[in-house]
Amino acid sequence: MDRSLRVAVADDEPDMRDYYKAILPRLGHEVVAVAETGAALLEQCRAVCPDLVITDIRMPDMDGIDAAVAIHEMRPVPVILVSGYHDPELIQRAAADHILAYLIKPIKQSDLVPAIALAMRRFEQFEQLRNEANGYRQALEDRKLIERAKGVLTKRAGLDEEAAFRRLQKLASEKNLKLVELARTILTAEEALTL
Amino acid sequence: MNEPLPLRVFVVEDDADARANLCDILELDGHQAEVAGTVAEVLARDHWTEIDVVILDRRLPDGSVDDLLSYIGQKAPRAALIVVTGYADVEGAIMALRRGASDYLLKPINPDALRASLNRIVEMRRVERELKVRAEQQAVVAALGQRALQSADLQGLMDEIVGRVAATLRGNYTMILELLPTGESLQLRAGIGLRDGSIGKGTVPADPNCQAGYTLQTGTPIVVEDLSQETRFAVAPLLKELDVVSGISVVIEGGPRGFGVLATYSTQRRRFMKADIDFLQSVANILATFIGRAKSEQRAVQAERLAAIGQMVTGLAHESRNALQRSQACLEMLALHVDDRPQALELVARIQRAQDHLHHLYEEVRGYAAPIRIHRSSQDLREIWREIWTNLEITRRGRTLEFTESVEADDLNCPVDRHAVEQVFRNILENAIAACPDPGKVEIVARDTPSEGVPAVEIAFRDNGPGMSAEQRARVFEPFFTTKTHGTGLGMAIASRIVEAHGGRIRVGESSSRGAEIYVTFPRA
Repeated sequence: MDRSLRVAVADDEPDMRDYYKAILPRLGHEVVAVAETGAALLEQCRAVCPDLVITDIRMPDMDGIDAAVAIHEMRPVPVILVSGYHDPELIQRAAADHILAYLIKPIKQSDLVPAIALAMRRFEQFEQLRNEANGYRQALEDRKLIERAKGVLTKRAGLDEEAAFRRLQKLASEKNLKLVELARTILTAEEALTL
Repeated sequence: MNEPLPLRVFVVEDDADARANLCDILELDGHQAEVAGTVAEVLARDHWTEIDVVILDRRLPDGSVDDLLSYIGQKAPRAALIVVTGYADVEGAIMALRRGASDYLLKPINPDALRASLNRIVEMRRVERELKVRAEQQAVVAALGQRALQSADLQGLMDEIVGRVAATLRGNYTMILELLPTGESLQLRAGIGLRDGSIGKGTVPADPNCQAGYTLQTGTPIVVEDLSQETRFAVAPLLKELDVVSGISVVIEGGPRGFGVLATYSTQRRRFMKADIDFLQSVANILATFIGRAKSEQRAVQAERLAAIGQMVTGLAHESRNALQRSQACLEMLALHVDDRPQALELVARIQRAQDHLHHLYEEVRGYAAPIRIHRSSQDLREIWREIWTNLEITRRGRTLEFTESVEADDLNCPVDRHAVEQVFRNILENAIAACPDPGKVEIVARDTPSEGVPAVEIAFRDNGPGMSAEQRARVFEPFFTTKTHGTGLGMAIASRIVEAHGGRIRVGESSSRGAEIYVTFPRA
């Protein structure tokens, strides 16, 4: 849980930038980017790929929420907002994107510690869910290919579905191929023969 | 006003016997008679204004009565004219009537006919006077109404009202009594004929057992003809002292129990007419309208001011967060720099506490000043206070506290904003816990109670602390009023705003001996 993180921070107040630089290392993290505007934060994140972004909202040029959206488009990264404002409009914008915490200034070290821990844990859970979802999507794609290869076998070799599937399994094991790879080869061959 | 009036009668008759005869009849009936025998004597007369009736013989030795009629009409326009004439001259009498005479009598004069004629005149006079009084009263009502519209000065209006009412109804004492917020007594706000220095100070109990309280309770005008015979209520010592015999009192509407009472008293026995009562009530209504308008204007002005202050304070609190954040950041960095110096760290900790207090204060002020938005949903009030009591575990740590609750209602569901009500209960319970010494007792009693005709739930919070002084009771809901060393003094003010935003009521119990009591009422719909 308490792994060392590479953190990018942004705040237009020099006191806050100094604060993050002094406090985050004490919490075991490394500050890899310090920006005073949203645009600078985006630029630096492109270069250093941080594990976590902590940013103010109201800054000159791009604000913290817009910067978070742009950073997320490059690569998913957890973001903690730290702001003196909590207008409904800001909260709504923050909820719409990849913001994992919204802290109201003034914050203390004792607010940062749990916020960082929770944000990282949530982000990991999101990532895990995202990976699982990708896995399921792939499995579904594979299943479709295998079904089609089975269809080719029933048609060409006059096998019933169960026999066709057993033959596919046997062949894959003999050729040391994954079932989906074998299915893809059969479908390519079928395509060549029917052309 | 019904008593027969003695009339001042001017008899113009050349025949000495007839003159003497007329005078005898008049004086026998209590009237005052003055005499003249010729036109010349009539023309020589200087004082006409007090004459009520002129009895005029049509035949005078030195001139025509027809001319005299218009002369007297000019000199004494108020006087009624009776023309005395013979049988042979009925036509002349009719002529005289056309020229402004009120009546005619035939010679020889029959005493009964004279009396009947005078009675008619008296009755006419009475009706005229009555009309005049009503017209005056109407004029007073109109003038007061005008004044109430033009000026915003309540005290000035009340002073003028008692003055005008006293003059119009010829009362010896006229007063306006205002029901005080406690509902227990009425205070003298304006008066005529009363002791100096009693205005603004003197009070009477708002008890149905005295006239003012009885008037408020019945809500109708109370007329007393003879105070010594009064059976509906006891006679206030003040009225006895003032030798009051008769009087009227009416309610001045305003608020749930009325603004107060307008009363006028006389030291002589009087029979008041319905019109007098109506007049007094009309005046009271003008005052009630004025007060109602003034209150709503005051509320509007106050709301506007609060909104402006609220915006300012909200902005200030927002901006202060950034400044506080910088201070916080530097403080934590300072702590890192001096972490080998315990004394310096102790100072940092103290600054931190001061800063936390400042932050808390800003947030409370923001909470108080910001507009309250109530999102109602049906909530079980008991569930809310139980949750708050549980959440106050840290506050209660190390204390010996007994918590009891009793509910005398089928259910405690009310349409409230849960978050806002949590704040109310937390503030009250925190105060209760802070107020009572160990072993402390905190008690909640909830019951059904209609509030102004609407079904409502009343929750009483009691503690066994020292209770509140009269001043504390009066000021507990004022912003920044606190008895705690570390309070912001906004907790109860916020609670009060929230309860009012729900259409409920919050008040302090009267008992000062048994610890503090706070009553909160939420309407069920």
